[in-house]
Amino acid sequence: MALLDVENLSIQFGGLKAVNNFNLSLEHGELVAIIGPNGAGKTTVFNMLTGLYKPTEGDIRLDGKSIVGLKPHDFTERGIARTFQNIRLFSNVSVLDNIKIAYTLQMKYGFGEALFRTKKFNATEDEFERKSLDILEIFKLDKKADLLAKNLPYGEQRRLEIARALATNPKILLLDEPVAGMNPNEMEDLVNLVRDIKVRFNLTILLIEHHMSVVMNIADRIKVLDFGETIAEGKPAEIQNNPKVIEAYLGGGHKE
Amino acid sequence: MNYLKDKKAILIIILSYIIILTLNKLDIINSYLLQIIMLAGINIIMTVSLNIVNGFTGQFSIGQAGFMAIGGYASAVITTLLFNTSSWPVYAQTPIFILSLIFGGLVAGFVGLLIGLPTLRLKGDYLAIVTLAFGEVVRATIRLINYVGGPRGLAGIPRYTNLFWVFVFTLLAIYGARNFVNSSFGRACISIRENEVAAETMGINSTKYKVLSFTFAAFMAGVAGGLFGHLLMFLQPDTFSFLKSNDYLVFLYAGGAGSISGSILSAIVLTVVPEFLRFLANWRIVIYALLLVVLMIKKPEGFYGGKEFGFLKLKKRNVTREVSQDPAPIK
Amino acid sequence: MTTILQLTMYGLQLGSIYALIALGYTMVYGIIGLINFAHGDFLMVGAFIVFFLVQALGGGHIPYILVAAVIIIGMVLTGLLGVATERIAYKPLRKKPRLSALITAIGVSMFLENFPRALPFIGPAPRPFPELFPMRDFNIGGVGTNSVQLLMIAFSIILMIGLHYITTRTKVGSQMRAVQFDKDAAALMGINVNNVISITFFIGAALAAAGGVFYSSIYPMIDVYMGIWLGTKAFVAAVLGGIGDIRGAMIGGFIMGVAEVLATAVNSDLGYGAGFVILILILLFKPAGIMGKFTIEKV
Repeated sequence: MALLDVENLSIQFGGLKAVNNFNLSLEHGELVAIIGPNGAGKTTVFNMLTGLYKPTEGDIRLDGKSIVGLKPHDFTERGIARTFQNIRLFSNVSVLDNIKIAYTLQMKYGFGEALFRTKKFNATEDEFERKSLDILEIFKLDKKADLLAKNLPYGEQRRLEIARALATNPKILLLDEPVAGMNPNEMEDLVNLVRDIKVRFNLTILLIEHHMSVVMNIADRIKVLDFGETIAEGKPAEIQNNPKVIEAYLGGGHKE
Repeated sequence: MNYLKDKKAILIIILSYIIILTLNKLDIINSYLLQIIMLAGINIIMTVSLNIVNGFTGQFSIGQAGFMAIGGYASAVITTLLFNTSSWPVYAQTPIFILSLIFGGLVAGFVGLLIGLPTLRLKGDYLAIVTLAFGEVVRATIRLINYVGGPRGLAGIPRYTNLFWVFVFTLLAIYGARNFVNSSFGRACISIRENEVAAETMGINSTKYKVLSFTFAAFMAGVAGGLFGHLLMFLQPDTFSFLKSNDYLVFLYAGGAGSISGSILSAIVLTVVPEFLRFLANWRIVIYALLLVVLMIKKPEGFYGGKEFGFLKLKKRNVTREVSQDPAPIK
Repeated sequence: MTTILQLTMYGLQLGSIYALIALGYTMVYGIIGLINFAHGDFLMVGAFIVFFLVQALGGGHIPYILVAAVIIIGMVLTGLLGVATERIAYKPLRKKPRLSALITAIGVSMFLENFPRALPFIGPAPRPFPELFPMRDFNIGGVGTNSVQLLMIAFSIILMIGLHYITTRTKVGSQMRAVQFDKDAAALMGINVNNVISITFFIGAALAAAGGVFYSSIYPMIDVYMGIWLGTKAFVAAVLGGIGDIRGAMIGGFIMGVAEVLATAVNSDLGYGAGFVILILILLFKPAGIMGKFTIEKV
C-alpha cells in the first residue's frame, strides 16, 4: 500500500476542468516532481492534496484511509504539510513565532491552563521554544528568531516557509516552486537543504518546480501536466527526451 | 509566575489605587469624577475584549455592546430581581455580587458561542453586519421583556461596584488577555489574522479559534456589563445600541488594534478627557470627530499601534538547549 | 386580506426608500470596498437642504415645478458633498488597511451629524418637513392607497431604472464596473479611476438625498440624527441583497420595508428587530446575500 494514493482526481470550476484524472501513487521516501507550463493545474493539484479545494471527482487516500472532504487542518493533522507558490508567512509575527504557530497541533494544555500559567503550560511552552529554535538552527535562521518575518530577505523567507511546514511533523511535504526568484547559488543551497531534511526528517516529498536543473537533480520520478492533463511520467532521463513534454514547453529545459 | 516578576508595575498599580482613593476621601476628587474613573476601568475591559476578536484574531465584530447588555442584565437579575440582595447583610453582598458578575459573563459567553458558531464562517464584512444585527436584536429583545423593565429600564440595582472591584477586574482582564495572546491560543488567533489560508494549512482549525476568541471576548464584555449596571444602579436597553459598540470600536482603533496597551491608553484618555472638555458643549463632539478622522489619516495604526508596555511583555523564555552535535547545518 | 395588501403597499413605499439609500451603500462598497458609515447622514443632509430651500421660497405649499427643482438641487448638492467627503477623508486611505477607512467613516458620520447640531440655526431640535407632494386617496381593487405612496414608489423605480441604465448602457457605467472589478487594471486601461470613484459617490449620495426627502414626506419630523437608524436599516438591506450588487440593493430594500411594516403591525419592537432577524437568517443560508457572489481567493 502506498503512503499516498491519488486516484482519478479531477476538479471542475464552472465550465472549466482545471485538472483531469490525476493519478499518483507515492511511496514512502520518494521525491516526485510535478512539472508543466504555467496554468497547467499543478498548484490546483496541491490545493486538492491539502484540502483547500474539494475535488469534483476522485479519491485521496493517506495510509489507506480516504481523506477527501476533510478540512485543511485535518489534512495537516494527518501528516501533509506544504509551502506556497506566493509566500504565505505570518508577516507581522516573529520568525520564532511563525514556527511556534505550527506547533499548535501539538499543544497539550487547555484554555484555563494558559490563562493561569500552570506548570504544564510553562513546560509545554519551553518545549515549543526549544523545538522551534532547533528547527531554525537547521535552517540557519536561529540568529534571526526575533525578527519580524516580513523583514527577512526573500531567500530566507522561503526557507522559513519550509521550516514552518516541517514543524507540523509531516509525513509528506509538498513544496510549491521553492526556488522561484532565487539566484543559482541560493538554488543550489536550497536543493542541498531539501536533500538533507528529507533524510533527517524521514520525509516523502512532492515538488512543483519550473527549473529543470533542480528537478533533474533531485527527483526520483516526474509527472508532467499540461492543461490539467497528465501528458507524461517517468524517470528524469525519460522525460527529458519526451517529445510531448518538449512541445508543451516549446523548447523545454531552458525554463527561467 | 512570570507576570509578577515586574515588581515596578505592581507597585504603580497599587499606588495609583491608593492615591485615587485618598484624593476621593479628601474631596479633591469628587464622587462624580470617581465614577468617571471607574467607567474608564470598565471601558478598558470592554476595549480589551474587543481587541481579542478584532485586534488579535483580525475579525470585524461591531456589536460588542450586545454582550455588555446581556451580562449587565443577567447579573442584575440575580442581585435585584431574583434576590433582593440590598436587604442582605453586608458580608453576604460581596460574594453574591461577584457570583452575579461571573454569571453575567457566562451568559454572555454562552450567547457568544451560540452566535459565533454559525456566523464566524462568514467573511469579514458579512461578519460585521451580523454582529451589528445581533447587537440590535439584543436591544430589541430586552425592550420586549417586561420582567427586566422593558423599554423603561431596570432600576434599583444595588451599588456594589466600587474602585477596588473595578481595579481588580480591570487587571484580571488585562492579564487574562495578555496570557491568552501569549499562548498557543493567542498565536493561533494571530495567525488567522495574518494569513488564514496558511494558518489552516499549518493545522489550525480557524473556525474553532475564531469562536474561542469570540466567546472569551463575550464573557469579558458580560462581566464589564455587570460592573456597569452595579455602578449606575440603572440599566436601559437603549444604552446598548450600535452607538455604544461604535464607542468601543473607536477606542480600539484609535489606541491601536493588536495592542493591549493601546486599548488601555485610549480607553482612559477617551473616557476621562472629554469630561474636562464639557465646556466646549456642542462643539466637543465635532472636534472629537475631526480629531478621529485626522488620526486615522495620519496614523492609521492608532496611538500605540502594535506595541506594548513593558510589564505586558513577557520575559524571554530561558530554555537550555543542547548545542547541536551534528555536522555544521546546511550552508 | 385587504389589510395585508394595504400593509404591503406601505411596505413597498418604505422599501423603495430603503432601496434608494441601500444603492449608495452598495455602489460605494462595490467600487472601493468601503462600508461608508456616513452614508446615512447624506440622506439627512438632503432632507435639510430641501427644508431650507423651501423655507427660502416662502415655506408652505409651493408649485410642483419648484418642488421638482428643489429636490433636484438637494440631490445635486448632497452628491457634491459625497464627492467632497471621499476626496478629503477616504482617498488618502485607499492603500491603507480597510479598518482605518471604516473608523474614518465613523468619524465623518459623527462630524456630519454634530457639526450642524452645533450650528445655532440648526441645533438638535427636530423640525417639521414641508408637505411637498399632493395628498389624494385612491382605492385600487379594494386596497386603499394614496398619491404620495404611488408617487414615491414610482419615482424610486424611475431612479433605479435610470441607475441601471447608466451602469449597463453607458460608457461611464462600464468604467464603473471595470473599476469595481479591478482598480489597478482599470487604471492601466486608461480609465480615470479617481473620477469614476467620485461619480459613484455623487450618485450614491444623491440617491440617498432623494431617499431622505421621500422619508421625510412620510415621517415629517427631521433632525440631525435621522440618518443613523434609517441608514443602518438601509445598510442591512444592502447586505441582505448582496452587498456590491445593485439589483440586490433594490431587492433587499423592498424586503426590509415589507418585513418591517408587517412585523410592526404585530408589535412595534418586533418591527425594529424583524429586518435584522431576516438578515441573519438569509446570511446563514446564503452567506453572500441574495444576489451576492463571493470572490474566490487565489491560493
